[in-house]
Amino acid sequence: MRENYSAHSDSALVLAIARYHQGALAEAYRRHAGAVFGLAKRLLGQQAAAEEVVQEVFLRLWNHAERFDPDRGSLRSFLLAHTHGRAVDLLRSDVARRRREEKDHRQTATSGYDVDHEVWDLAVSEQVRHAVAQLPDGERRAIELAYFGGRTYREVAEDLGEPEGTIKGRIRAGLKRLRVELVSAGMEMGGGL
Amino acid sequence: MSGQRRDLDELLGAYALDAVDPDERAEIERYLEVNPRARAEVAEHREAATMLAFSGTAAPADLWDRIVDQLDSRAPAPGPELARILPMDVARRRRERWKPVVLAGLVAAALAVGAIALVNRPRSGDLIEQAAEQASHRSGSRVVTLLDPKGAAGPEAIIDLAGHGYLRAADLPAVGSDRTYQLWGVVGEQVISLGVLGADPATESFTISGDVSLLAITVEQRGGVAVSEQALAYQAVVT
Repeated sequence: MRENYSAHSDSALVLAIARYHQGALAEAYRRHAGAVFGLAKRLLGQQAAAEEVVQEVFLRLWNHAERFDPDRGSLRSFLLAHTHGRAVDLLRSDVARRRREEKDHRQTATSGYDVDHEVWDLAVSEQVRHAVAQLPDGERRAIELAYFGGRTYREVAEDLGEPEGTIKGRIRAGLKRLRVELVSAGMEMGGGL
Repeated sequence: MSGQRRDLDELLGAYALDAVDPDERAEIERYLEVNPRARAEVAEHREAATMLAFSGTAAPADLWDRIVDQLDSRAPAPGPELARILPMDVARRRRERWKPVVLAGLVAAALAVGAIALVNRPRSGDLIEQAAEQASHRSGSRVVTLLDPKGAAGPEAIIDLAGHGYLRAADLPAVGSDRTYQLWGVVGEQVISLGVLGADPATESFTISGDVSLLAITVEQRGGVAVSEQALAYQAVVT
């Protein structure tokens, strides 16, 4: 008899996945594949590459479920962190870098690089929009370029014409502020010890 | 706070966004292995950042089928890190403290708990030993020596007030490559795997939240187990 996992918490799903219950992986995929695919597609800009990343992320969960620690954040955050890391790795490969630079160049030539537009395309919730809007512009732009642009803080510093130390400080301070704003907006936040 | 540590702390936000260079990444990851506060900060940054990408879009219809095609129906060998938090009946523990059966037969209950403990598998023995030495001199740290069944002294464990633990296990005899030492602790009503130590451990680190009352080491199959059925190789009451 197949077990119905739809009522399981994410943590219980991961425990079942660790015991190689395929139905549990299917439920995790049903819940989170859209977010994983959306982030990969946003970063890579290519459907096929994004699909590859989605496969890697869920196969990694299947083979290494024990690496998820519910005390350190949600399953979705765990999956998205791996998605981001893998997508950024691909972006930084030479071929992907050239493609990205060409794409960025085209965007700059036609309409200017509109980070705000890129972010809002993700149709984040009103609460998240509000929280992001509370960040000082310098912190918001540094976070967006690093997270959605796949740039290192050094590249962000170059893009914005700011010292590297300023940018890494802004990213850190901005993420702390973003967390506070999200919590004040009523978002449930995991993470930490 | 040292200048180097301050510099690494300042990079934690960029690291959480995968926005550091490879050499910096490696340096930060070594730092995170010995600094639970920094690990917690990175986790918080990642949680905040991923909220930005929450909504996403529908994944292609046939993508799940492609994933299923790549699943191996046979369970792969256990990874190097495997740990579960398992509930434990207190009365039973009092009657049969540290008998192997206490650790066995609790898998079903573990599913109800739905929690997994993080195992800290250090990559740099020197760094861990330095951290252990500092912790042993820290006010409030508890230092215990685990004993084998005959009462002979074994590894020394150090747990500081923040729950950062270290096990000086370099003198443990190496076991075969298909085996591993595994560290366990009892916190309240739970038996917790604190770490899979490997076949020939050095000084290892672990993190524990709550007041640990007992520590024990077993020898398990390579990769470690969720529930031990082995006799205790070493144990210590932590006071």
